[in-house]
Amino acid sequence: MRRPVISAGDALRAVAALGPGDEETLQAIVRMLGLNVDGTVATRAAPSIGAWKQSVPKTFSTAPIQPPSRSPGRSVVSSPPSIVASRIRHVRSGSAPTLPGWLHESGDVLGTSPLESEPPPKRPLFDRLSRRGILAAALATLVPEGDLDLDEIVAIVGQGRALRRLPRLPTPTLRAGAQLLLDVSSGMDPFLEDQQHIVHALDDILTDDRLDVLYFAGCPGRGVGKGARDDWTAWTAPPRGVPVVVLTDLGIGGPILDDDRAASAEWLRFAHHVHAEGHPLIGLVPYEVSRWPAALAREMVLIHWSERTTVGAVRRTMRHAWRRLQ
Amino acid sequence: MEFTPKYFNPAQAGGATIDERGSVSFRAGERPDAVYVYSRRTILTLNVALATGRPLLISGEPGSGKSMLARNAAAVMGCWFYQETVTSRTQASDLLWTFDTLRRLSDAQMSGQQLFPKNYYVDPGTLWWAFDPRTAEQRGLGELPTAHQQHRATNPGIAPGDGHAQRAVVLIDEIDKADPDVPNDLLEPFDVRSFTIRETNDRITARRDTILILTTNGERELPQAFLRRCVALTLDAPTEDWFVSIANQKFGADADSLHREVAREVMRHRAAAKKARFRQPSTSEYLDALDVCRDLGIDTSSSVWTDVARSVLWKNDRPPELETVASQS
Repeated sequence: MRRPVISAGDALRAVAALGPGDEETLQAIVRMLGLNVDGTVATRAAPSIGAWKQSVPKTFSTAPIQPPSRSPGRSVVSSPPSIVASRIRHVRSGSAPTLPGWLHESGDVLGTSPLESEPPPKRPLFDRLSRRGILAAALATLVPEGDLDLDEIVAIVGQGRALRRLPRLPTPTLRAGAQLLLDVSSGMDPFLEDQQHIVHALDDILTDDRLDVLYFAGCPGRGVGKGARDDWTAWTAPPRGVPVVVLTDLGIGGPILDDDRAASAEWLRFAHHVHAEGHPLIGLVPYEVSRWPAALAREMVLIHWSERTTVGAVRRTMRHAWRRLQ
Repeated sequence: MEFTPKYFNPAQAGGATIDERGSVSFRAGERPDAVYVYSRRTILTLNVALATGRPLLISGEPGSGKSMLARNAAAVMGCWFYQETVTSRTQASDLLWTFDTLRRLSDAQMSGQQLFPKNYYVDPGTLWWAFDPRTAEQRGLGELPTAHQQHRATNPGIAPGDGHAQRAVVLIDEIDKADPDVPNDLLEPFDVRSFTIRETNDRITARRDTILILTTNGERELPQAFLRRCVALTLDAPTEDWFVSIANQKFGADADSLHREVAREVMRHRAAAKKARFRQPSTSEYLDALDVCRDLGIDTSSSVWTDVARSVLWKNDRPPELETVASQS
C-alpha cells in the first residue's frame, strides 16, 4: 500500500530519533518535512531556480515559540508527541499570506502611504513554475522515435513480410524550435510584460538558434519584422515543420475603432496560409475562452494564456490537435 | 544546531575531519568528486530522511554538489550506490526494468534458433538492482540454467568497501527533466517496495533497505503530491571557503594559498557565467583546474592561466565578461 503524504507523525518520528537541542533545529526539521511549527501559513513550492536565493520564505513566521523547559544537557523537546503535535500543521500550498492590520490604517507614519508606494510586481499569466512545462507541451512536435510500434510490427510479421524499417511510435520533441510572433497592437498593451516572460522562457527552453522572434500588429498577414514597423515585410514560413506561435488577443481587446484590430476572417486566412506551408499554428490568448472566435478555434490550436492553465490541460489540447492534424 | 545524528554521522566515518564551524569533510576515494563537506544542516536533513524513511529531494544551483552529496553519503554509510540520470524521455518503469522487444523479435525470426524464455529479455533497472540484486542478476528467474550463465545481468552499482552491505542508496539525478507523471509513478514502487514485471508477471520484492535521493535543478515544476512525500534540502551556492575546504581535504592544506587563489578565480567565473546565463563552473571543474595548476606548477598569475580557464572553466567559445563582474565586486 502506498504511503500517505508526510504528516505530523513523520515529524514526531524524526524529533524523537534526533532529539533537537534547540529551537532552530526543531524548526528546521519541521520545515524540511514541508510542515509548519506555529500554525502560520507557509508555502511549499517546488524547489526551483531562485529558491536557494531566499533562505526564509517571506510568509514563514519567525515568531519565537516558547519551549517547555530548558535544562542543561537536556533536549528542548523533552516530550515530542504532546508538544510538537499540537504545534504542527500541514503547510497549505498556494495560500496567500495574511496582510498585517497596519496596512489598512489611514495614518501615514512614514510620510508615504504604503498603498501609494510602488505597486507590487505583476503576477505572470503563466505561473513561473508551470511556464516551462506549458510551453514545452505547446511547442512540441511529434517525431517517429518513440517506443517500437508493436501493433505495426505484429501486422507486418503476421503477413510474412520482412521488416525493412523499424516502425516506432511518435514521441514529442522540441528540436524543431519555433517561430514566435508577438502582437504589439494596443489590445496587447496590458500583456507586454507577460510577452517578455514568454520570450525569456522560450529562449531558455529552445536556445537562441532555435527561436525566431518577430513582431506584428493585428494579424501577421499584414507584415512582420524584428525592428521598426516601417521595415516590416510579409510573413515568410520558417523551415517546414517548425511550429508558429502567436501571442495575441485575436482582435478581441483594444479600442473598437483601432486600425490594428484584426477581424476573424483575416486570422482565418492567415491560419490557412500557415497550414498550407506545413506548420502547426498555436495561439496563446490572454482573453477568456468564451470570447474566442469559434471559427478560429477550429482552425488553429488556441491555448488560454492564464494562471489557471495547467501543463496537463495543454498536453490534452495538443494531443487532440495532433490527432486532428494526422 | 544541536541534535543526535543517530542514522548518519560522517564525523564517525574513518578519515573525516571537522572544522571550527562544525562542517564535516569526508573523502570517499580518489575520484575528484569523492570529497564532500557536510554542513550541520545537511547532516540533519539526511538524518530526518533516514528517520522517516522518506525520499530526500535535493535542490540547488548547478555546482552546489547535489549529486556528489548522494555518492559521498552512500560511502559514509557503507551502502551500495546506484545512479540514474533522468532525461526528457525517461519513464518511471525504466528505473524498474525494460524489456528488449527487438532482440526477442530478432531471435524469433532466426530459423533454427531456440527462443529463450521471456525473462532473458528483461533488463533490470536501477531500482530493481537496489531492491534485490540477486533476482536482478538472474533477470527475475530463481536461477539461470548453468548453460545460460552468459545471460546473467551485470550489477551497475558501486560497491561499498566490504561489498556486503544490506542497504543501497539510489540517486535519481535531475528528476525535473522528466515528464510530470514520472516523479509520482516512481514513488509508487518505492513506497510499496515491490513491483510486478508486466511481460513475465514476476513479482519483485525489496530485500534491501533502499534510500532514495533525488536532485532537481528547478527547471520544471514538480507535482505537489510528490513534494509532500519528500524531505527537502536546498543546498547553498558554493562559496570560496567551501571550495577551499574540499581542495584541502583532497590535496592537503599545504597548498592552501593556491587553493584559495583558484577558488577566487572560479567564483569570479561563476558570477560572470551566471550573468551571461552560461553554465557555471562547478566543484569538479575547480578541482580539474587545481589539478592542472599542480601538474604544470603554475598559479593564476601565470601567462597560461587564461588558456587553462578557457579549457577547464569556460568550455565555451565566448568567454564571460569577467572584467565587468570584477569591477562590481
